[in-house]
Amino acid sequence: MKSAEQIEQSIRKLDIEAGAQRRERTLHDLVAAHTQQKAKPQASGRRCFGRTIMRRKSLRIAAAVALAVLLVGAFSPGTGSVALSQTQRAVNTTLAWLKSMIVGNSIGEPPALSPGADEIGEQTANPNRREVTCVARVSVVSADEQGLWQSLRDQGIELVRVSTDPEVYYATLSREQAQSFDASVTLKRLSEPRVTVLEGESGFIAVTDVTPQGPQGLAVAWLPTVSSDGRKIESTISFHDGHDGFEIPSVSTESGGVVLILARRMLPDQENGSQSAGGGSKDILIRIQVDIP
Amino acid sequence: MEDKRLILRFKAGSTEALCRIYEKYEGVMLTVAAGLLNDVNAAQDAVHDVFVAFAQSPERLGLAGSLRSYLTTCVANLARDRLRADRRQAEHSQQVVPETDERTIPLSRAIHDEELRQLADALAVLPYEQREAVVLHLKGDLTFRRIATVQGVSINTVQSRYRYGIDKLRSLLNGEVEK
Repeated sequence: MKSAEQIEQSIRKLDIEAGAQRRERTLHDLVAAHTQQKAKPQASGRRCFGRTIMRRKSLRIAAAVALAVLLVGAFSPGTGSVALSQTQRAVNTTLAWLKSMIVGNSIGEPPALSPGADEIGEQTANPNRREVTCVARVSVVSADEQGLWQSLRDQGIELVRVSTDPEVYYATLSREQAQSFDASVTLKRLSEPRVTVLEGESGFIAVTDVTPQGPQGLAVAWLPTVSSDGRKIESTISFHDGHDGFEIPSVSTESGGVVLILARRMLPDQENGSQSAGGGSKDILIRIQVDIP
Repeated sequence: MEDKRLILRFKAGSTEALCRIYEKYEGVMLTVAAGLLNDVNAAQDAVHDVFVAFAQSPERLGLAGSLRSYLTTCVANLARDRLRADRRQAEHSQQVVPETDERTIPLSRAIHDEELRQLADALAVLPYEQREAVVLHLKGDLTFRRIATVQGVSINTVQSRYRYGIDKLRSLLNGEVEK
């Protein structure tokens, strides 16, 4: 006698497959339909890529915005069902591009990780996707400003270490905490580029320093999505220092909240030499404020 | 999480993401369609049409919700439309539609396991609403609430249909065993 549970289990086990020929045909029709759909006149079809370079003594700040879907699914752990080779390729390609931003090679446009990403210019305008703004304030933390971490701790905010080499920490702050933090510290600001992307698209910010040892720096890619109620912004932040790259997935903040990223001993301190923390290297603080306009 | 990324990439125009969605859900959608229509050929046509329509209108897909539920709902709606169209055509032509024609491949013929084959045959005997409740819940992973929306009835009705469906399957299959 079969029980109801056994029958339910059996139905869950039911599985049939289409023949390879049939599957090929459907895939072909799918691609054709999708291509045709993308070929329709678009209200806001565009390819937009901008770069701003500012010079300040030996320091060069480059802020780049790429309206392209580059990092979706590329870095995040836990996407085991994505083909490993595709993920690996996506990581390698994007990190190579971020690295090229840092070391000053020809940058060009962001890499196309897939045929779909390459065809971004033909994408359909989607009224459901919201714009998300990121203001990335890049500051140098000198030796005598190390007390700011105590200021964070006083507010109950702990920096979480996400990488040991390079040594990088991050913390999330509410809008109020960010205001309080801003009021309590004054840092040497290098740059404050503003990036606006549609959710699901990526913005890039790179900070580079031309030193006698060659170019050094770091690059950050930011990919936001917005919760269905529009109150939370979930950011995936990728980071590369020219040697190693890693990702901080799913950092959740409220609109107007801040993600602080501290990269220790990132840039050589040519002005203060060994007086600086870390024996002649500067710490870099990136304050990323995300908002829905 | 992977689904959300796939949806975002697909909505941004990625053909690769579309193909990945198809590869991921084609099997389960085919089984759902075959379970509803009891015809593998018709199920393949339905799945083909659902995915082609899906490829043509990424803007209709919301970022929230489950991709599997969305596709299952599309398959269920299309299957019901096809069955209604067949019925209307039969009524219009005043002819009796044969249970099977030469193109029809019942679900049980696409299954190798004898026990599952018996189950597929029993499933085909259920009244459509009960079959739909059972297949969408167990194979399509739809909640009873979602099935209620699909069927346009109350959640209690769906739960009753499901329970009656399982009870009937049980008696059919146990009857087979007793024979």
